[in-house]
Amino acid sequence: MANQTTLYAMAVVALIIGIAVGYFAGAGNVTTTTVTQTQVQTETQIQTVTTTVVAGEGEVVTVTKTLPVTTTVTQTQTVQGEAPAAGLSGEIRIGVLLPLTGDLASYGEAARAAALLAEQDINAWLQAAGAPFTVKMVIEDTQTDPTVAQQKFDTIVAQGIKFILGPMTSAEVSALKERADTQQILLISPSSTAPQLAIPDDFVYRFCPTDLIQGPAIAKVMQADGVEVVIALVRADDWGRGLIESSREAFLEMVPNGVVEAIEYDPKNPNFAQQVAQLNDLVNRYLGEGKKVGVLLISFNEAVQVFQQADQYDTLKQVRWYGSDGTALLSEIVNDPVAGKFAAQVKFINPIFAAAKSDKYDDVNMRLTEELGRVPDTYAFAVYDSAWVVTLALMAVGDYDPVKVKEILPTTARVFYGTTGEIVLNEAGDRAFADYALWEVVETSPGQYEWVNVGMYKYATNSIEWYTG
Amino acid sequence: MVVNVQLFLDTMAYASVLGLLSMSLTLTYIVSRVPNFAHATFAAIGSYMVLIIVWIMGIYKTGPSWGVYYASLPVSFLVVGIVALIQYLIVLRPLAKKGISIDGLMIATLGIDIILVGLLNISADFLEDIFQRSPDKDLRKLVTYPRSGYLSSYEPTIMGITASSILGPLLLLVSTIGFYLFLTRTKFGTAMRAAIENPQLAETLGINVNLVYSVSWFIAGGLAGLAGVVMVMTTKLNPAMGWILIVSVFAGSIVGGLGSLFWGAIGGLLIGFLEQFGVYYTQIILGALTGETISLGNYRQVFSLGAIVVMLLVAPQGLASLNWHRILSRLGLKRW
Repeated sequence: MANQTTLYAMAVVALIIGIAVGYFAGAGNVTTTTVTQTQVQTETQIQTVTTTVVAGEGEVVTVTKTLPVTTTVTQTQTVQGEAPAAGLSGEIRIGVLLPLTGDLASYGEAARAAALLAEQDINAWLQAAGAPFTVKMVIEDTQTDPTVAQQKFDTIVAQGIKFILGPMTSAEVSALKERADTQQILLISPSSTAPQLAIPDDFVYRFCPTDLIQGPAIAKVMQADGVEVVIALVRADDWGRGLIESSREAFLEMVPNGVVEAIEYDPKNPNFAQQVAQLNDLVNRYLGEGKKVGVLLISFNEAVQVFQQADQYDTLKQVRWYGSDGTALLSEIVNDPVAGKFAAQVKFINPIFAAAKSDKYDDVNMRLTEELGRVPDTYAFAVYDSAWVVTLALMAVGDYDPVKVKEILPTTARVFYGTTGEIVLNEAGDRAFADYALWEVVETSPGQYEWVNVGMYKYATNSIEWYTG
Repeated sequence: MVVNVQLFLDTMAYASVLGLLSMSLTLTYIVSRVPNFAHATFAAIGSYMVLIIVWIMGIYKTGPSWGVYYASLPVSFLVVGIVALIQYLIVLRPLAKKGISIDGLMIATLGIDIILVGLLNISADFLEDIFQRSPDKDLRKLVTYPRSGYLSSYEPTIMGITASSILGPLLLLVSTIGFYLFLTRTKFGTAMRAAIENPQLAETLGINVNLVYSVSWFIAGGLAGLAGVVMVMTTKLNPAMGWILIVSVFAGSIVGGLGSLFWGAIGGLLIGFLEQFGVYYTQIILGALTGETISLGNYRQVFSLGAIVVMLLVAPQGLASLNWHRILSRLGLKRW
């Protein structure tokens, strides 16, 4: 019987320890959002207990008894950062994957500011409404690198987060798509534009139009300048190849006798001296034929290096350079003395999808400009809008459930009027249409370069409206 | 079209960087028999010194300045030399003493490389933070530089030619000649050759072999640091920038034969030119044949790796092993 007493005593001690552990771990819940569940199960079972009794000198008797035994099991489950399951309460966390460093660092910086501004505005609104929850943006840096993006995706998902704003580049979205689909994590990219990623019913929404619309916008600007021959320098990735194809197709449709030549470069090359030399050869050849030549640069911030190298060639300064949403409003270009000067000299003009102007846009624009000390790009506004749309959809669903939110997100976006204007998503979950603002690098005072909005490409009419003065 | 002068100048800067790196890599290989995978990252540390100089000396405000060179070169030489010395004294020598094989030491250098890139990442974060928080508006503009910086806008030009195109080859020439004189005309240089040739014998003659090896590692690191200063003018500043170049650096050393500093330098130069002009002329030739625009920029490393293959097939001991006397006389250039 001594054995049984020990057993009971141990069970009681275990129970006390279990409750104590549960209590203290639970106390941590307040700050770390660690949810600790302590379950105490008591069950009575019939067990067969075999005891060996020494029944006298040299005699050993084995006694087998059947006894009811009560066992108490204390389970302490600690779930790191588990978001509230049923109903919305406490802190609702939304992941944000941005290129805070790397080739799109300047977009990342603006997007980060927009996400934090959205968090602030949404929480103020929720508080005023007396909502039982707040939202929290959990921001991670992808370094503009698909591999790092995958690691950071895993980091965010491991915290129990099921909604992610970002990532920004198509290469990153492409790297995360399978993970998002299989793990049912909803991604909303503000800026991935590759047409290849327009896939219906996946877990990826994109709050920007694809390059099937940007291509014609670029082509239209070149056509308006009377360009006959386009020599393109193209970043060799999904995005670059998709965009040059849609630009080429649109340009050749608008200028039937036109020529489009493309030089690809690997962004991992140490430099682009050889590609710029080839570009110079081609421009010279077509200028020699008396053609009007334009250079189309489809790149990210390596444009700075391309300009530094192109600055050594006189011919390359004599033709106009056209860009894309990969370079529009990049602070790296205007901050670099050589690249800024070159860009202003060749009237480097870049389309980026435009927000429809409204009071709401002006307000957010003003606050972001103040925060950043420069004009934010449109993708920052798309981040701001996506944060709101996700919050509204979550409230409508009343549950932290990406599958349900995914279903109603397009209609939620449709009824919401964002800083980017109307948000109409097509069957692939991408923004169906938009106008494109045209930004050009201009020398505003000696040695100072700035991005200036010089016109607008109108999607509905396939025309350009130039701003004068 | 036939000779693109500008491409030649750009390539001079890039090829000199490879020349300096292949030469110094060969030096560490001769001394320790270990292929040092961290070597190109040594150069990256030198590149970060340039950013720090641009910041501390206020060059970001004043624009192009010789300061990027006269301040960065000695600082990079010293800092990277010390890093290389530490790698030798703290990691490679103790491991070698424990009888770790060459393969083991090679893997150790890979590990060091990863640690160094990690440290550069930390430094980059640190610098970004400093720039971001600065009240100086011009300094805040540098915030993207620690991870994707293009510093060539801060180097001066000589008659319209960027300084790196002239300084790079000059540095390579001076270091090669300087090293040659050091090895042949100084007592320490002679001791160094002896220690490398036959460590046991040198030791019995009273030469401090350890000191000789340490000095060699320091100099090799220092040269990589110098290369880093020119390198940052030709490529993007990034913590992992060494990884992009390391294959080409090894190609240069292997083509040079891994046994001679002079041929290491030549090997590096050759690889640099092959990567740029090899690609460029192949495009022109293929373009002329097909009548289309061919761009082979993505295949840059095919040329450097191809050079390794060809060299190993034709002359496994590298350029150094070729009988240049016979080759030159066959080409009718004997008098040269």
